Amino acid sequence: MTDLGYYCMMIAFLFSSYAFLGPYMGLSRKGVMLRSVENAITAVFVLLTVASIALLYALVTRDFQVEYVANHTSRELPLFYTISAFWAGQDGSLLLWAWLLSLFSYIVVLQNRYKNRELMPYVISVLSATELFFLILLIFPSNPFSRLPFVPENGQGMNPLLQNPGMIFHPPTLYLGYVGFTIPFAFAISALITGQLGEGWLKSTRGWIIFSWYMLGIGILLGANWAYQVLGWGGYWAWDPVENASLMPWLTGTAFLHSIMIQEKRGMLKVWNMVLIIVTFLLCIFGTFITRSGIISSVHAFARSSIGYYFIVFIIISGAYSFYLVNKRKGGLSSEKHLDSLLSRESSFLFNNLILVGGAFAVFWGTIFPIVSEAVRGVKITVGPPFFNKIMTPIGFLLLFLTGICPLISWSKATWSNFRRNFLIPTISSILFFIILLVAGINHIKAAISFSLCFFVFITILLEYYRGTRARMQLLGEGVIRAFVNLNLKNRRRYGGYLIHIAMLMIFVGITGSSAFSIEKEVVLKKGESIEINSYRITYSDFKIERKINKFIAQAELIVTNNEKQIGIMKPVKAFYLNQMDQPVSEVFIRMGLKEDLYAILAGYEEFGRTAIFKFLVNPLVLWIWIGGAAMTAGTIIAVWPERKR
Amino acid sequence: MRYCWKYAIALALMLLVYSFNPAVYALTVEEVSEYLMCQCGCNLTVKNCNHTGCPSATPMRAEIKRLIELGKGRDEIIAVFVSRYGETVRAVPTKSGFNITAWALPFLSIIGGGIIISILLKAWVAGGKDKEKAPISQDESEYDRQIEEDLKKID
Repeated sequence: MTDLGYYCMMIAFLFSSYAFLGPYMGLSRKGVMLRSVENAITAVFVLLTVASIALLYALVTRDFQVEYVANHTSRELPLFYTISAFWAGQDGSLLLWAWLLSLFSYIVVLQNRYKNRELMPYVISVLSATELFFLILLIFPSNPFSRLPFVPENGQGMNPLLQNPGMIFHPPTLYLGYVGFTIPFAFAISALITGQLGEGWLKSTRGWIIFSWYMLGIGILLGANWAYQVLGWGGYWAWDPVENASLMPWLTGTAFLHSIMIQEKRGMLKVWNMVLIIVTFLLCIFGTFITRSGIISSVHAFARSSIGYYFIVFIIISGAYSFYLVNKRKGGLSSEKHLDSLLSRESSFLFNNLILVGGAFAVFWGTIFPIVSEAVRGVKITVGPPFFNKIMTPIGFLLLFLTGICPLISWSKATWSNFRRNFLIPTISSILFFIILLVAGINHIKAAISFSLCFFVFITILLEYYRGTRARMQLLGEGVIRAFVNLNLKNRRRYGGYLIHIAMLMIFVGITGSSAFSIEKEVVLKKGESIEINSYRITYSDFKIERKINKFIAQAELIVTNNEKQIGIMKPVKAFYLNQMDQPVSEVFIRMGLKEDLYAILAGYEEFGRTAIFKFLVNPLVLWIWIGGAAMTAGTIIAVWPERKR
Repeated sequence: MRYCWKYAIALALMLLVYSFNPAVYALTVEEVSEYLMCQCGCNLTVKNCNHTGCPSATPMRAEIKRLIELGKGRDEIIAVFVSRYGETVRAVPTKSGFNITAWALPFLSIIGGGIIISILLKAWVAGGKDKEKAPISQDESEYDRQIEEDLKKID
């Protein structure tokens, strides 16, 4: 079965080569030959599906002669995690990348059977070039089917940190985003090659752009949730290079999502949009490179290898070719550039783009600075969380401010009176809100500014809903609920977008609250002793050691009271996995709440739990980050839901 | 109403000044340990390293506590660790020499981009005065336009 998988990858390589070279050999000019190239894409999808099934089969049947299976599974590993071992290591996750790309390419072929026929040969060529790159990695340095010269009795098992439900969904979701951005990139390059530089390629890929952006965003949030629940240090974001690698394309992708609106509505910013999608694609590849090469020290150290050079070559070649094409077509990309007023939605979107891309650059610069420093000064330094927090806080404030003002300024021309009318209430109310926060005793100025800006944006969005609902009520005689529902249903893209903005506010509120007001205490407790943190009293009541399928767990029992009333029992765990008994893993216990999370870590114990070391944290408002993720999902669904034809 | 803004801003500034508490500020272990990297290879800060009995983070925290009790400030404590482990122990680059580019470049790039955008916008507005207004794309939803028109009527 594993031989079959390897041969499938080899044959897929041949088909991808054919699909890549087809347009350059003049095949595209004949419809029949284009169909042939499209069939090659179908074949690649089928072959890589078989290869993926072969790897899954090897994992599930515990074929330990396959090196990848031996390195990432063991007989004790539950089936759930055995399947997720597919993307737990480098070789498997690269196969996942390649398979997803083949699936997306196949869907693109189906979607464009009867449209975009001029673009399609080159779209297929670009997609196949990317597929070829991953197949080269899979066939040569990173073959998931390579065999050991012997059959081990058992595998090494999975890294305990990866044995968490979050790991089932986080990597594939992130990869859906990374791979998804290849589609608009392929259409953009195809438009550059063919000279069809209008809005056609944007309209054809709008769904893909939103899908990829959403998946990347949700993948980031799932990763943050995994870190919060598994890494056991009480936080969800450590500005780790691998985390940063996923944030960068999301930021540029967000900028792209906004700036294409200007191209769609005004025909402007064509060059900028090309640059943005190229940069976003390159950052997606860069993200995979950072994750897989281990070139920068990371907490994701389970993913190191020497395939970095392949990525560097691919990034340089694709970047150079893409920007060469942009330069070659710059005449065709020029557009009527005129505005009636400095105060317009176009100008506010441009500044929004500047902040988003500036933010991405700040993250990029901080991430690679250790390498730059080593190259220039010969001294390797560390760029840790405090640096990013300091740099990104003002950038975040600016972004919030612009999120508030952008949607309410008219296209092309806005008057100052219109501007004042729209912003008087939000501005005064947010200043009052800021004052109330200070009077209420919040003397963390950055947090007060952040909350006030969130309030400002929220009021602007609320007013937008109010004005729209009122307009429907007065002109169409609808009731308030009907008017509100119809307002959302009749222009899903606009109001779905507003809901996504509200989701971002929730995330900002959660980040601000947990960053500014988190309280932590580390204590040694004997059984029966208590500790007070914030308004909670926590009593260490019991301790036990249990055997589970693939691990031993040491579990403490803590009785939690709040204002003399028992509100629950917390059971933090120290887990000793059979394959890594010397590296116990903390399984934290979190009591989640809208106001705050109570977070308990069993850091250690002595004398079978007679005394135990605990770390407790009170993290305010964290739940709003995850609620924001749910709201982002709802907003995206509303935004992409097809409008009913009128 | 015209002066509301000014009064609100003045009031906010007064409260801002009032809210700053000049009381003596006690340094905590967490406030120092978040600026130092754990040396056990976990790639987390000393504050965040969660290894049970970590051979690096645990003694470093104890040392930080001891130095705070001796009355040392954050920068002095960090300097003690830098002399022991080298530059890599810092979680944040210094704001001197070449490292200043780490801090300055992101903001300089945003300021530079802002200047370029401002110049472009002025040029586009100047161009717009000589030309007819570009039509808004037909792609804009009919309903979107209708709502805008309706809102104008009401306002």
